[in-house]
Amino acid sequence: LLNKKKVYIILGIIIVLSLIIEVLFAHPHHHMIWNTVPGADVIMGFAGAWLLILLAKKIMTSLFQRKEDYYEGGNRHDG
Amino acid sequence: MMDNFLQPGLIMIISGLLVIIVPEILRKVVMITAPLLTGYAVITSGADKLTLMVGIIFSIIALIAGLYNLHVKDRVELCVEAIYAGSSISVVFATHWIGMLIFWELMAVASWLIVVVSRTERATKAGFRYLLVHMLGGNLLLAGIVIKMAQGSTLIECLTGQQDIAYWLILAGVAVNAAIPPLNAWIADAYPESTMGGTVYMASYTTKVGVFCLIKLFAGTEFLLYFGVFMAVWGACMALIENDLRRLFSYHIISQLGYMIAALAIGGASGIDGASAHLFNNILYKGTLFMCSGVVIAATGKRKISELGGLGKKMPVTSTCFMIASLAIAGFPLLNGFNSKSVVMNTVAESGLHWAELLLMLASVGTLMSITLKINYFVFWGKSDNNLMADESSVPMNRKIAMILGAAGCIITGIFPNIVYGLTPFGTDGHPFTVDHITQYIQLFAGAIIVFVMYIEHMMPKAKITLDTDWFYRVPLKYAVAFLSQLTDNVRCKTGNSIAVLVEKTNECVKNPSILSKKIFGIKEDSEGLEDDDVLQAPIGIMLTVTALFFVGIVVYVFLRI
Repeated sequence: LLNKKKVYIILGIIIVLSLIIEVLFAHPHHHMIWNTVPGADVIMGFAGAWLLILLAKKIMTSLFQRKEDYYEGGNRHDG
Repeated sequence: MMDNFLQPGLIMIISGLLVIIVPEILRKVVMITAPLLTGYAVITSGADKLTLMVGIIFSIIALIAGLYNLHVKDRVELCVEAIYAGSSISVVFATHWIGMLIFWELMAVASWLIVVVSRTERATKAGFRYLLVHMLGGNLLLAGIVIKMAQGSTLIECLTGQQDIAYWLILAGVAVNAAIPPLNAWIADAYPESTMGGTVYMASYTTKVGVFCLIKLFAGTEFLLYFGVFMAVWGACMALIENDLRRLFSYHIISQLGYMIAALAIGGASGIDGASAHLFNNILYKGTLFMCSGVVIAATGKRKISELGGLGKKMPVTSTCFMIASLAIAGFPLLNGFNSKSVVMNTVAESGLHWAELLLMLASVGTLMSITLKINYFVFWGKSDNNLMADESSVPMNRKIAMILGAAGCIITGIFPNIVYGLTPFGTDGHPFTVDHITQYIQLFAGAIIVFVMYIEHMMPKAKITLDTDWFYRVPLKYAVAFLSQLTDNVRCKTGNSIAVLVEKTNECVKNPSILSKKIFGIKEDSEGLEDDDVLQAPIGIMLTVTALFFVGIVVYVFLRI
């Protein structure tokens, strides 16, 4: 089916197409840097997703996740 | 006051009672006609536009959820679900504080019954916690309303700007229903324990009634913006690590509520329109997501993502409807979430709150990753080692139709945004389909998908549970209550024992005062005086004398007074 490489290629094509359309036709309503610079949203999506994975998977997992029987009286203070 | 009771919600409440008693064939007729009649009553009610809009979507989801549950045989469940839907609609249509309060409490009780009606031990426990939290909310609301009424205000009015105690109490009461942290944990705690159909009802009403009341009573309350933005991001983060399918959606309820609360906190025409449009669309796609997950869980018997997988081709209708709804919640163009999210984002951007705009965009990315990508990949379309023997042959036709209706609703209101925009209180004329807006979302999502694919090995949720603010009342409060009850018990036992000893000793002394005299005069038990009658009887004589003297004293005193 789809492997990682194919997904990257498809996404690359989508990004390039959307960039072309954005440069040619877009008229931003707002004037912050992420509205005006073409392709800024790709970077924001990338950085945002990376940040969220870091926050959720690295930090929140260790802080808030416990064994499944935690409330049923399992090993209570086990991370 | 009477119009608080004779209003559209009553139809659903009566239908709930009818469902219990009518014959099987009529039951199905009642379940379908009641929401239709409610919808008709809502449209012809002549209420204000916000009430009308929420009333319409509540009637629509009552119809879809009723259809989803049409084959269910448990009449108690169907009854409480209809009463729950009816009482939610009644809260929306209430104009009097007392009317609102009565239906608010009815809603809390009915929704508690929806949780416990699945009749598992987990559900009973979660339902108890759910009821406690909602009774707290109801009582806060009651206290606020009592103060309001004592001040002479009987009709529901906007409270924004007031800072008195009634304001804070009502806000706290409503905040419980709107799941504003730290009062949010009941969603993820109770919703996954209900029945498949019950969850669809619950996801559609309680929190949305909370948001409706926030719009009506507290639109323009600036500090709620911080809560809204926090909820949007935090809900998405929690969903990213969550393993239980319906708990994950519960966190997305919180995340989506965050958008609505952020918009209504900014207030003004566009803020209120954004919040109400998002409320409308949210019920459609969130309902569809819960319906699909219910079908998956019922078909496979598994509720954890780590135990599911590879269902895409085995369950084509479910996976397609799920795909549509999951793209809608992320805000994919041509689906309804995109339209209302764009009104919310415009409102935030125009208010100059760039930090909030950025964080809400981050929440969009989180939504995309945790529902659209994560569940579609790990449950439906990705490779999986879990070889599940599930197909759609066991799924009742009415459930399929309900899911298709929900997904179709997402598409129709997505392609024709003016349906929803026209219903909003101020008739917003947002233009969602501008080139910059569409390219913005496509690029945002493309960037996020790259990261998701990069880290796909790490995205599989672990078989663990996530602690939430319910930890406070499930662990420390439990110990605190246990400690207090132990303490009370100890005090009771010790006091009881001491009194028993005292009574026993006194008894001994009264029965045989010689013991007292022995103790006072130091006469030892083994002394010979014990045999002497005079010694034994002497204290009784003294006692009688003292008593007689006391009596005489009282008589003399009384005579002197007269």
